[in-house]
Amino acid sequence: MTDTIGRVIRSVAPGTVSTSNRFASKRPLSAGATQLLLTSNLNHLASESAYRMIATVPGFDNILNGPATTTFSSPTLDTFDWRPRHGGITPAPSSQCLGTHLVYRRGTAEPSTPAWPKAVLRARIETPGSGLDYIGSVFAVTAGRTSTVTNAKFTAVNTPGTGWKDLEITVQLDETTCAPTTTSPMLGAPTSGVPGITEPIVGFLSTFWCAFYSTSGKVQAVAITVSLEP
Amino acid sequence: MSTEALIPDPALLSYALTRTGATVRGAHAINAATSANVCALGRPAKIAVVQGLGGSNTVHVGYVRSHASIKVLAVAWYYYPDPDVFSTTNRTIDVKMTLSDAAANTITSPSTRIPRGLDGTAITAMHGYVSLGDESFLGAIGYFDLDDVATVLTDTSWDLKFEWTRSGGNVSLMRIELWECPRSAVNDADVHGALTGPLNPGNPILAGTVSTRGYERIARTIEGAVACNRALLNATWPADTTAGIPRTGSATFTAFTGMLEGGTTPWPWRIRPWVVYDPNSASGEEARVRYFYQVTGGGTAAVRINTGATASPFDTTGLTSATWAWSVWKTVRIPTNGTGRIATVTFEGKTTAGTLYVAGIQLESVT
Repeated sequence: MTDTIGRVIRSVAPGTVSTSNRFASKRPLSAGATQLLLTSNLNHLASESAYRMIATVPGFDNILNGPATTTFSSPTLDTFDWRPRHGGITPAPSSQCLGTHLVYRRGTAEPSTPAWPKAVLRARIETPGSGLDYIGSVFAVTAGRTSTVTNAKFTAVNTPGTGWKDLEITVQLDETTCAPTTTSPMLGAPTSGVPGITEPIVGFLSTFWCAFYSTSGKVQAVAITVSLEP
Repeated sequence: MSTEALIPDPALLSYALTRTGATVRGAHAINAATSANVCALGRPAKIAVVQGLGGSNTVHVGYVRSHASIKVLAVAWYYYPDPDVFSTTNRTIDVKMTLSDAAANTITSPSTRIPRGLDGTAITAMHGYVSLGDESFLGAIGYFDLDDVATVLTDTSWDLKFEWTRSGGNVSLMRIELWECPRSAVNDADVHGALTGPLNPGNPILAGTVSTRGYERIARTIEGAVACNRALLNATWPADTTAGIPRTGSATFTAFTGMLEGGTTPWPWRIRPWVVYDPNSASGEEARVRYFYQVTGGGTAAVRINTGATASPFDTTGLTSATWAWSVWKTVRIPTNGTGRIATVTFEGKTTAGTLYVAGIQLESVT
């Protein structure tokens, strides 16, 4: 059902011996207000729990690399240079993996809202000095824990103009970007024997990437944040 | 102690079943417990990602455990091989972690609490000729037992120090990532988590207590869901004053060099706060921030965060450490009435003498 109130309704702490504690022992357990409060709070938290920030990095304050292909009017993954920035390559590529993260599905059913969140990359970009040139930007998502952007779902844009601008790129997550995973983690590093095994980690994993280029001169892409949103 | 599997998706709770006059049935309690468990145990939200580095360096990441029923923290690091496909020189690389808390308790590598691969154990990097050029490789992934670590780090505010080292060449650190792991089981011995089995039809519907079955336990689990608050901003730079990191020597609040657009305009970080108690609010939801900093020249420094909330800005003052250290926490508020619920935060700094350097910003919600 719809999260109609949009917040958690405060109540006294559980375990409080008080007539204000709706769930206290010997209090009547009623439908109506008590169950409504519970339902409302849980619907809201179930909805909110699917969304969060997943990466915040400083970005690139010195982007000099150009497009990796001669045509870039409609950039694709191959238009960007995904080689390491600190690998001694000149000019240094401007790409960054933003991590492999768990993705949770939305907890409440609403007709017009997908079960999967959308991933949104935001940054502050400095465009080239000429309005005829661009800073190219791409935000890509691959399913599972991957080592390259091959087969990524992506959104790429060329931003022309002069001066600083806000960048916002969205990728709608779905079954092609979220791989089901089960991992049995081992804890710590004992001095003898094998590490203890704890509960399996079960969920959907996605890996997030970004890259940039300049068609003329130095540009910047900084204050990069990525969030999962409805 | 009893356990059962955690159902990974919340139940759909219908208001129609809760109207006055309706019979309260077991299904109400079971669905409520299921949803509460998912939100409290199945979706922790503390994360951090460290951007790539070249030569040997050190970064610090701030971390606060969501709550005592979140048990595992996963940490992984990845690297790029040397792009020189003709190089046959073996390069060794390693990441060494040191964990500490605000009370100066420390866990240093090697330790039984620090997984292999995160304890400075050197590995030989792949050569460039086996790589596709843009291909990265996993250095190590390790899982921390948070209960075990917490027996040493008794203060809840932790510092995770990562020392990245390479033997030579152009092998580079691609990223470090860390996130709390969701549970897959509900355990009534934990602080949070309501077993659904005892709520099945045929069993009495009880108030119970916060540690046994019943509605009090469900309510305690909902508290855990609220406590799974968000890391809103966890930005790191190398802890190196020569690395062009954010810094200022200004005597009045001004944008940091290394974190400004030009002139005096600071970088705007755009974040999405989560809403618990204050939707569409200019005064905003409660959060807190701390900084990893150093002040040279004997100065007393301050950092200002501008959030756009009614009470903004918020200043952290009295920063005097001449060695790298975390500041105290500063309570702030993040507005929730922005377009798309996006809030923009900026930072400024000042110092009475010397230079203020910032190598980490940790901003998290606290509701």
